Amino acid sequence: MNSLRKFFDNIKPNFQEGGKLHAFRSLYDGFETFAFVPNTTAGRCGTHVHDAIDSKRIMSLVVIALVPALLFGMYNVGYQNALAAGQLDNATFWGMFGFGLLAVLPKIIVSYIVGLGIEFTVAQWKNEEIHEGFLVSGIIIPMIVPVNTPLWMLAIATAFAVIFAKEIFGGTGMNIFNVALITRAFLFFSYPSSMTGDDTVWVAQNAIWGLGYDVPDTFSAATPLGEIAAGATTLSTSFCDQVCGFIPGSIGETSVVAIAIGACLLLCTGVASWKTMLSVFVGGACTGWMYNALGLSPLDACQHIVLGGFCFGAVFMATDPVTSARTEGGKWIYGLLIGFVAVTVRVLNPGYPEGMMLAILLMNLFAPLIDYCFVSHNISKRAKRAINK
Amino acid sequence: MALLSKANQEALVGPLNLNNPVVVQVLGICSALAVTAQLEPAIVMGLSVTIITAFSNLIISIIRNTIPNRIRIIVQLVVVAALVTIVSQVLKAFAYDVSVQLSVYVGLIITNCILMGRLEAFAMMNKPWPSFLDGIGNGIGYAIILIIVGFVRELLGAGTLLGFQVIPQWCYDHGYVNNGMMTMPAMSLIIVGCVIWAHRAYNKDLV
Amino acid sequence: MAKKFICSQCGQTFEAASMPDKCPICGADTSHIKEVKSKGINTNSNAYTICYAVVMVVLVAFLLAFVSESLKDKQKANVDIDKKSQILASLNVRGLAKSEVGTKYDELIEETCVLTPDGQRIDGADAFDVETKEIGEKLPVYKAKTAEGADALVLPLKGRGLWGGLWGYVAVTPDLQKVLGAYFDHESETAGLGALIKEEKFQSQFANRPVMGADGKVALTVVKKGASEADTQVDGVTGATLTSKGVGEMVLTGLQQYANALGAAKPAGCPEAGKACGGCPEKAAGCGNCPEADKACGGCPEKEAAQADGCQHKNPCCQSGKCDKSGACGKPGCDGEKACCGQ
Repeated sequence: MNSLRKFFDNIKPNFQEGGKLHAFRSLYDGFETFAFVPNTTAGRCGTHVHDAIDSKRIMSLVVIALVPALLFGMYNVGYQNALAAGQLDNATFWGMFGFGLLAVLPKIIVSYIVGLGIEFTVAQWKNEEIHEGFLVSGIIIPMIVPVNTPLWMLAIATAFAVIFAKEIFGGTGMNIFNVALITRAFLFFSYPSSMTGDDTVWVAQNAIWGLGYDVPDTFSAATPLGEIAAGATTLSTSFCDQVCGFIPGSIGETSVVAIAIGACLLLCTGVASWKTMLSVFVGGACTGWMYNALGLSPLDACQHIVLGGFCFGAVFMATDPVTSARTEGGKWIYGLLIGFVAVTVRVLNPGYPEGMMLAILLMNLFAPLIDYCFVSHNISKRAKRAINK
Repeated sequence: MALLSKANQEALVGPLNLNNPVVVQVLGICSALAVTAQLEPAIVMGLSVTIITAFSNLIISIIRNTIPNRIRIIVQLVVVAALVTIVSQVLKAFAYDVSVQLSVYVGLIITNCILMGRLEAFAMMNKPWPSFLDGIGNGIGYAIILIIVGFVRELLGAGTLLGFQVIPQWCYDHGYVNNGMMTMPAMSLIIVGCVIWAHRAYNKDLV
Repeated sequence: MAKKFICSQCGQTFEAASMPDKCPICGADTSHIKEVKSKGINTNSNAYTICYAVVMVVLVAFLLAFVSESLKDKQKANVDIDKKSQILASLNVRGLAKSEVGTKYDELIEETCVLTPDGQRIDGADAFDVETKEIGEKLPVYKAKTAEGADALVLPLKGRGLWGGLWGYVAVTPDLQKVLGAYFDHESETAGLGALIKEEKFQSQFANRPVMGADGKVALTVVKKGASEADTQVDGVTGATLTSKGVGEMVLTGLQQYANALGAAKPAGCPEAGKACGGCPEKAAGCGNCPEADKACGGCPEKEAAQADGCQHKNPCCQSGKCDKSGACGKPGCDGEKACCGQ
């Protein structure tokens, strides 16, 4: 650690005013504050309450919480590939994991390079310090896309999302919509044939560097929700597989178990709001139960929660502190509505088998309104109390 | 008065840039979103609006002193509606394919704020010739934005321009896919936003 | 004398001795205020306003009526050409210039007729005048030749996709056994996915497919890509499951309707079925009465056999097999020789 500190101190003069690398000062600044908590305090503009943990540390925690789901996602990519090729008996654990790693790693790299590149450029241009928000978005983006998404699409979508969902609203902390979800929404609406459908997008088809298997052309694998939307009444995968995550789907979203580990970490450290998280599940379960009872959906409440991106969205994206409701009461309403809208879209609109993305984006839009209502309600309540005294 | 005196030039050229009806006054957005998925309907729509603004301005300006004040809005509407109906009929007769693509939006030119705005704000108190120029200026100002948006949307959304394949087959063979979102109205809102962004970045005094 | 002024901001008029500094009603400055010069007529009087409105409306009405009337033929021609080129596309004639569509259509389409769903021919009706929304209650049929010169029947269809309506034209052989070509279009399917049904690439898959399945019913449909098990199952559009399903359903139910109406539901069905539209040589009434067709009790040359097996007319007498044309069979509903035997 000391040597790293020394290294930063040594190169610092290069980036200061007049140094030869001054043009890259924001880059330096970004990495320095990522590695070490800055010892400067916010001054001159009012009172600030400080905590030992700043937003870069919070972001790192979220990234750590995402790791189990990511690692499982890599393994599942290899597993689905072997399953599709009919080679499951021959495949080894490390072979499948290695294949998944090779399939997923380029997406992570592309997402970070494009996203951070834009962030650094904007920070440099506006002469601001680098924002850290993309640390989390950059890892979430590869996890919520199908494994076969071409890298160039991912790059365009990431650039679009960072510019139009974040930078034009003023950067990290100012965005109305969750950046990772905007990336997915852009891909979803721009390149629908690469993002939905039942054919070939969910399972990697070609061997990479000798790992994995070539899958025959005629193969197709639908996500469970895709099967239901296409009119099936029973699923081709067992409930146990659905919970563990051995089903086709976006890279990081399949395993409830791995997401639960991340959720525990987020809740224990207090990074995510348990109210938001719980209310999303409650809302989804109640709505799922209702549609099941009405006979509109063959899935029961439990399956609605387990399948698709519901868990991932509820744990990692609905709880995004920037775009979710901030008032305590508002979090309940916000979460319940996300669950309700997500399941409603799934059940009532056959064109969109997965509703979680649309639900969270829609409620992102309403979060400020929910907050406003709660705040003005509180104000009037207290005003009444003061008057009645 | 000279045909192109300073004031007249201003009436004609102003709406093209600093007083643009779409990017500065943010009028007529509805149709700019709806008909710009391809370049051809965008051009035809721009032309239709130009013709209608020019002639409705001219007609209203000619009869401005005879219009009873209490029904002036109705008179303006009738003139605009008559012109719109004529244009729509002519399109159906001579440019059927385009009129199918434009569908109801030709008829909805009547509700285009640019038209009523120019009639009330300009034609009712100016002589016919400046009014005519003002109508042409505003129509072209509107058309320019439509054409820019239509150009981007057709190029990226369908890989064509005016129906001709522009992006070579080679790209598609290497995995390029047209951007489906460009064909949706939502994207044209974002493009109009980008045009406004660029326009204001260039004309700092508008900010 | 007081002069009259008008303020363009509030639209009100007022009187004053000379040009005021600001509008007394809304306070707008002088640039908004104009003197109203009276030219003998008060433009704000009720009589003037009403006359003005009446004259204007009458003038505009005449103008529009004139424009509409003078362009009517041209517009109708455009609509017709559009429909004709869609029909021609199903006959594998694509990409014609507008001016050629009319002549090509006249060359290839030989005859048309409109049938009711139970096979009766509607006298004097032209298939071309049947609108898409009426298909189902009326069944328009075009007898034509394909681009390759084969005899064909063009059958218009309508259905529902994911977001809106679908319609199409399918050209089949006169015995309804084989597809010769197809054309589909849609109102508002997803661009890049469902909208691909409008592409020739999708439509050309239909050519040379058998219509009927092994059980003698229409089996032609669209299935998920790669899941095709028989020749009658056409590959759908990737990623557009629901639009493909809509097309499949439209083709299946639509063609079944035609098959019923044309009396060719059985594979070895009426040899004359296809010609029904041009009129069966024997049966001017057309398709419904073709020999050996399901509904053909009355017209069957071998009446007895038809009644025993295939007769679908639910006349109790016929089904009993006792009918000997000599008298009542005694079943309820049988009131005499002719009625009894289904005639």
